Amino acid sequence: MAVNFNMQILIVDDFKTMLKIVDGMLKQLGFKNIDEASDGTMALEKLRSKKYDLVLSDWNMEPMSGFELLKQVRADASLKHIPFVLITAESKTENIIAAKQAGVNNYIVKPFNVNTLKEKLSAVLGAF
Amino acid sequence: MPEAKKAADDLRGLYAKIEEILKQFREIREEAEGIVENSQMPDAALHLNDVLQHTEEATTTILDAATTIGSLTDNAAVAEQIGRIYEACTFQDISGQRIKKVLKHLNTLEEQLQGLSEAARGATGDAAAKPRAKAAPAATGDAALMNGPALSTEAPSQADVDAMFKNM
Repeated sequence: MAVNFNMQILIVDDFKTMLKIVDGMLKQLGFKNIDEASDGTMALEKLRSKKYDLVLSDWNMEPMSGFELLKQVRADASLKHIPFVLITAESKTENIIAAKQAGVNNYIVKPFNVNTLKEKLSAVLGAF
Repeated sequence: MPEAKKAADDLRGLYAKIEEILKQFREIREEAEGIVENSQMPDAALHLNDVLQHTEEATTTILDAATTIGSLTDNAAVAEQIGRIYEACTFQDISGQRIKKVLKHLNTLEEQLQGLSEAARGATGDAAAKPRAKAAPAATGDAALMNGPALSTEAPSQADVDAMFKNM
């Protein structure tokens, strides 16, 4: 099935520059509808107020981390189906294990480039 | 009575040792206070915060300019160069996280020195004794997973992460 570039994407990061970077890369790839949140709490509010088709989230944020956001999304019957990709500097084995067990769809380590983003999103959404 | 004299001598010796220990506590306290008062730590923290703020501003400017350039043309070669700008700018996120980690360590060190100074003051009786600051407990649970970026020489590549992810 062809990827829908009009899908609604939520990107979550507490660094404004990272939000700009991911937004810019997604638009380079052809995605059009991108919302932002600066931490897990704000992201959860947005997810519960609007339909999203994909979440890309950092890990290290306060008051709610991306890992906690992932667990909350997977625990919510209305949200658990949403593909969730972590984009993070956390690269230890225990992080990857924890994220996978919590239900993450893919895992991108910072720094990264647009080709890596495309590859990991293709693995989740289908080739584009 | 020899036993009484020995007991008195022992007590005098013990008293002298306690005096010596108290003197050392005073010296430790003065040194800790000196470090806290004269240290460059608050200054270092301000400089680091400055670096954080200014690199964020500079990176934002670069990204806004790159996005504007991208919107002005469909040229694939230009798009590729803009992609390289985005990738290079992810450094700011990594640097920012490292700086925040250092600032946290500086704050902890300053608190511990303050605690040491106050505990030593209490032990010498120079002021009302204050409870010794407890060492911060090691992080547990989800908090133990928040370590920030690894050192460049130790960080696994995306390929390493993919392999770990695939094999779970």
